[in-house]
Amino acid sequence: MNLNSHASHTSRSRLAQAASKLPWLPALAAFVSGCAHMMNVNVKPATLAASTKSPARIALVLNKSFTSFTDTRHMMGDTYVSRLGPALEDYAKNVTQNVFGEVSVYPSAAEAAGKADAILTPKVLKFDESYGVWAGSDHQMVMIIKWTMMNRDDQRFLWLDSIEARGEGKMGNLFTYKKNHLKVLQRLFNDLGAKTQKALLEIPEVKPLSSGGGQQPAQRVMP
Amino acid sequence: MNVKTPSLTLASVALASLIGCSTPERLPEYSSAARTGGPADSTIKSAESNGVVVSVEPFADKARCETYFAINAPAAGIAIFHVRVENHSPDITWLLSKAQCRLRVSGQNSSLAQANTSQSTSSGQAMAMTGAVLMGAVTMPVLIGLGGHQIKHATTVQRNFTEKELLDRTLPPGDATEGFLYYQMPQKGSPFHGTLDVSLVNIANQQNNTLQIPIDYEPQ
Repeated sequence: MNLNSHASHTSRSRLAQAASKLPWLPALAAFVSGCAHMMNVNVKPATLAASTKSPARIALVLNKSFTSFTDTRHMMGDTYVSRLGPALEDYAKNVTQNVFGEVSVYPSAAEAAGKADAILTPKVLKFDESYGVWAGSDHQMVMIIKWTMMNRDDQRFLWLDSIEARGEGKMGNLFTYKKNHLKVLQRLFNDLGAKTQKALLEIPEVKPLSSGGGQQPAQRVMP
Repeated sequence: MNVKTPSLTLASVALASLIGCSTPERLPEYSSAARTGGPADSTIKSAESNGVVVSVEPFADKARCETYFAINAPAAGIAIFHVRVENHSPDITWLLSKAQCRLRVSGQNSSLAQANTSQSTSSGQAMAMTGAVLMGAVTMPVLIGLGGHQIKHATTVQRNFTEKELLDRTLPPGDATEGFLYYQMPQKGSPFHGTLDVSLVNIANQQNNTLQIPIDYEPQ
């Protein structure tokens, strides 16, 4: 009995000891799991060069995977979250409205079918960054967006292209890293806007859409 | 304690030198069009169909993988192929999609002609594997300096893989494109044989044109 009583007392005192340490557990867990940082992705739409708009009517499909695209990075125990969807949405609208005379936006290709001369859909293929942990480290971003053009019924491929854009800068210190991150992102979106505008302006398949013709594109010189 | 401190310092310096803290920001670009001949040319295989020419060059040697990718890819189980697609057709525009490129690896006991799709991987799997290979040690950095260099190296290599990958695009008559495809090897560092299927869509009639290029991947 005495032995049992002693054992019970010992286990109770161990429990009490463990309980007294409980308040430290959340702090310890927070230290081990790191912090989550919401990165500012409030980039402005790129200023695009003036161009002659194509009279083609375009149905722009911005689906949920595009408009809610989020990049999550883990570094040294911390998590960095960039919600890029709204910036991507602005970019897609800005560049298509700059190139085509009439652009209507739909959440899916099925809803866009039959509503315009052609259906244009952007998709994020890749988003990658290289970075260091020091303030002077280079920070480089690359994003690849695939643009697909289907005919008005969403039945035939007309054109596709992948736009690879880059942005570069410095990591920055504890006080400047978020601002620097935004600068690199802005450069990336400026590059993305300019390259996409150029690619869309060069689509040979757009001309027959608006003119009703069916001309073949001119022969190019092999790069 | 006095004995351990210099040991730790030496270990960190030695490890930092091993993990490639001198990885350049930009690794060199590669173009088969600019190649001037040499031993690598014998490994290039081509196929032609309906005016489309596809050339495939395996990157199976450690030296070139380290030059262009800063990683010994065959040892890490990643098979790298340089692919060039040329449209020599006078009047057909083709659509090239990376998703339509498949690597089929023959089984060990079956000849290539009899081989079914014993293994067919997408490039996405290999890219994810690259990240795992490079970032695995970073998840538990013992020394913060070491972790920092590893992060820089790993993220630069990963970004370089993304930048050099073959991209989906439209190929009008007379146009060409090139880039790399990455696949998971059946066995790390071991040779394998198979075929790379590259499928393009004719923009006029939406018909597929599939070219099959034999692959002999011999890590060196």
